[in-house]
Amino acid sequence: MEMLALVDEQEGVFRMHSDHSNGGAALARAGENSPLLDTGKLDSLRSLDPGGKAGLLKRVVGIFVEKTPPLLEQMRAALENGDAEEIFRTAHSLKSSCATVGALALSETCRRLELAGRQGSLGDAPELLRSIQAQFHQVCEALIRLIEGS
Amino acid sequence: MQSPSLENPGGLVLIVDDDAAMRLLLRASIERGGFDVVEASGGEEAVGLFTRNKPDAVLLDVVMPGLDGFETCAILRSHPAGKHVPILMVTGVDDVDSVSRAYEVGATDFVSKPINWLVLTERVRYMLRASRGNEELRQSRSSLEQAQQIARLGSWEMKPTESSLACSQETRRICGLGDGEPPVGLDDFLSRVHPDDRQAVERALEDAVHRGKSSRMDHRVVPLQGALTAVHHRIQVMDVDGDPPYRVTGAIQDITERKQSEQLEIDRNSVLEMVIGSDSLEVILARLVKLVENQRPQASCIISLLRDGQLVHGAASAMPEALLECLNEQAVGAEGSPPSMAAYFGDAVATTDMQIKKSSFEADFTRRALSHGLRACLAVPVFSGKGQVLGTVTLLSSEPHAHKRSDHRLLEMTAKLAAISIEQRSLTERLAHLAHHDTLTGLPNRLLASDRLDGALARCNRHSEKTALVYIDLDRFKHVNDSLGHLTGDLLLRQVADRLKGYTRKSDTLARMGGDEFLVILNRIVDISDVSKAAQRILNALVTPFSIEGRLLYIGASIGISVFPDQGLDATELQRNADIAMYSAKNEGGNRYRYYTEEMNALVIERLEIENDLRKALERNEFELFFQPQFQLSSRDVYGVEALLRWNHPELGRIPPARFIPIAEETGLIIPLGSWVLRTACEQNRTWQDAGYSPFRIAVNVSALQVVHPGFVDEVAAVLQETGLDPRWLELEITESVLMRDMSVVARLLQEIRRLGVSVAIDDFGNGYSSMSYLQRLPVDCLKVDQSFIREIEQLSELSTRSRTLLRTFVSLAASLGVRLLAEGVESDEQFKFLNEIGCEMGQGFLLGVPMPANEIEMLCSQGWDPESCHRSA
Repeated sequence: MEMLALVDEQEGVFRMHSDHSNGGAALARAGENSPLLDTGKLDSLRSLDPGGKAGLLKRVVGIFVEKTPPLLEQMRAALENGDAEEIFRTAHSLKSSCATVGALALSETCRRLELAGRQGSLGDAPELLRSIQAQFHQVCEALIRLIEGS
Repeated sequence: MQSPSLENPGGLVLIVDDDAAMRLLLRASIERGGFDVVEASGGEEAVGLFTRNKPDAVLLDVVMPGLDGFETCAILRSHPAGKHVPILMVTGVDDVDSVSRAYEVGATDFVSKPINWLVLTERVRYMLRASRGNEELRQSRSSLEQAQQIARLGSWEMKPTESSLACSQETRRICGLGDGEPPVGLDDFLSRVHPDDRQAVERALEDAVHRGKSSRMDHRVVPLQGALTAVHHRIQVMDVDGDPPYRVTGAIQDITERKQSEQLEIDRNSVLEMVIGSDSLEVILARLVKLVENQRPQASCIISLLRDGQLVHGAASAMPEALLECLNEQAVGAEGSPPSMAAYFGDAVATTDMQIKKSSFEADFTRRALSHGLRACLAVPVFSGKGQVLGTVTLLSSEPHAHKRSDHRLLEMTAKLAAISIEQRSLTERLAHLAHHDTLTGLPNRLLASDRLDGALARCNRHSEKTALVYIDLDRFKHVNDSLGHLTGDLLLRQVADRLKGYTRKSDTLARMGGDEFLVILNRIVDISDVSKAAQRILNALVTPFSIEGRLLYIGASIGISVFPDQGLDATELQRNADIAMYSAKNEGGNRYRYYTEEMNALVIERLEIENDLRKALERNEFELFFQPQFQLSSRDVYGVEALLRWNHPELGRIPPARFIPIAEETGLIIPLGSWVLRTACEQNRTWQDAGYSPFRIAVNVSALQVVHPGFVDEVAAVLQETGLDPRWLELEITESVLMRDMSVVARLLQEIRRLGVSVAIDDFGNGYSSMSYLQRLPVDCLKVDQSFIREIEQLSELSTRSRTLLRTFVSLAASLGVRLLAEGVESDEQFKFLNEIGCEMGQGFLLGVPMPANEIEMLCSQGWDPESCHRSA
């Protein structure tokens, strides 16, 4: 079972990687059920905890939901202070955790903010932050639905 | 948690990430692979946990507050347990810089986000398995290296397309290629092969690479530092089925020790064979030096011999003369060079570094050794079988502290072989010398003289030269030997030899032919008068008295000469003729030289005939006793008779005792002849008594040889008993020389004879060498004054005065000792008158009565001879 799953997943990885390199179009195709969350990513998480016995997904989502608002607050404060370095760091961090829970669209937005922070050109940053905040709420709702549904 | 297996190797994984969600997922992923997990949220915590838990693998996030992933990785790698632990770095997507930096700081692998969790499990599992494999490989490589080191077996591998070899540590060590990983260039490798073997090795490698031919060979390797090494080399082609060039591996084994012990065996056998064979000691010792050099190619060896307390050169490695020189003729001592001390103490002497241990005593040796780059010295003594020091074996090396226990063992073995060689050779030399020399005088003996003569004659034949044989026989030596004993005789012979040496040229040969006979071979005679001069010089030399044990001994020599080719054409003839000439000189009275002539030969033949006939004379009853009366001078009355031996030879007529008694003594015939005389004389006296004549004493001459012959006293007693003669009618006459032999033994014998009742007379009294003091200690009854004193009474005034004085002294001496005095050889009235005047009691001689057969004695008795009256008055 695991071996088969692994083979599938490898194909998925391959597909995902190749899609990824083709730009944002991946979201539309990969997230048929929800454009906010990547199904393959979530399945991958679930496979770590077959049958959900350890409540892994719930705990990861819990951490995500809990830790992200303070991070968004740090981003906002950094933007206010024009601290590009801090924006880069917080955006990178959120980018990673979003990717972890399969919120690839949000992760992509974080990546753009991270890039802006690294380049020190914060012109698009307020707009990107607003987008991130909005998307975060949607992702949260989707994740909670997912957990409660499972 | 699953138990470790090949599929699930198990183990502890350290997860380092500041993101709690990530840690959670990473943990889930890792635990799913059957591993245990410890977590750290940052670098500092990770280092602490790593030290405590020693995880089998580390998952490390790059971006972290505090120590970031790179710094943490570098710290872990520097940790003692972190050198080989697999570290997987988790980097951002497309972050090429991070990936390369991760490798720089020592990460084993990287994984990019986003992470595929299932794949990660397998990644970690694989990484850990690879790590374990690497660890095992590391361990096995290390044990392989150890095994190779123990076996002195190295390996190498050559890629077909590259002209370099990947060498194991041991291969590097054997070939002196230095430590390290990089492959060794083929040229470098070949440069370490001994030049004489290089072509063969190169060809073998080419055969392997291009023709797929495996091979094996022994060759030598010359490391840049260290000793010449012998190796066994196997060259193996790995993939013969393919096309050339082939992959080739090799195994190279250090067989120096084996080769050396094989060589040692060969060398030792070779030395022993030489000892058994005919090689000279020098050659054998040189071979021994080679033996040491074969074992210690870097060192030098010196073998010294001990002669008269000095070390002398035996054999040595090629080394500066100056160093050998200062060891040659060096006296051994407690404060000398190491060899000198080794010989002195009879123990090994090691100087580990002469540069440090400079001592003033051995300064010369040390200075010279150091100036030739030699710093360590080990010297061991060579012991004979009886534990005497015969020499030393010394090892010199340029490295301080170079000599080990094995060197000591090697030298001791060498010393043993040296001892065997030295002792064997000295035995051979001694045997050869013994076979060719006379032990008493050290002169060449008859055998060597014969060889020399053969050589001389061969030379004469080639160059028409002349050679003379001078045969020397000492006069009166027998008398010295008989009277003073053979020990004195030996001392005299030695002095004679020494004196003769001074009168012979180096080119001549002086030999002792046995007894008191010497031979001089005079080579390259130009003028025959030179031979005469030489002979006269020898005579003069021997006439001078010899001083032995406080006595002056007067001897002389009789010399016979034969000259090649005039008096003999071969060695045998020359020797025989020189011998004959010598006898002739002796017969003429001695102290002269004579050249051989044909006439001499006849005389010698006669002498030989006498000797021959003497043996048969007893059986043929050719001997007869005559009796000469002894008189009381005052009354002219007969007192007794002396029995005198006569030999009636069937062809030569009557032979006087002077001509055959010496021969009888020489041949030992004197013993049976003496017995016959004693018995016959006693029988005769008894016969006369039985016939009714008044009894008188009969005097019988006894040879010195007879007196000391075992059982002589018993024989006298037996003869008396068997003949029934009263002992008082027997007197034994012995010469002074008998008394001189061994005073205590002779005194005891005479005492025993007198105890039988037999009286003892000293014959030829006054003619001997001895003092008169012995007379007081010896039991004698009568002194018979030698006739030379009597004869001198009528000689020239001086002699006459001397003899008259002596005779008067003898008379008073006899009176004071209470013994009879008898004058021999009384032939004239004047002699008779003088002797009678001075009171000499008795006399014997032609004037009074000639020797006569038994029947004439009977006639004398019948005419009214009354010996009884004499005895009564005595």
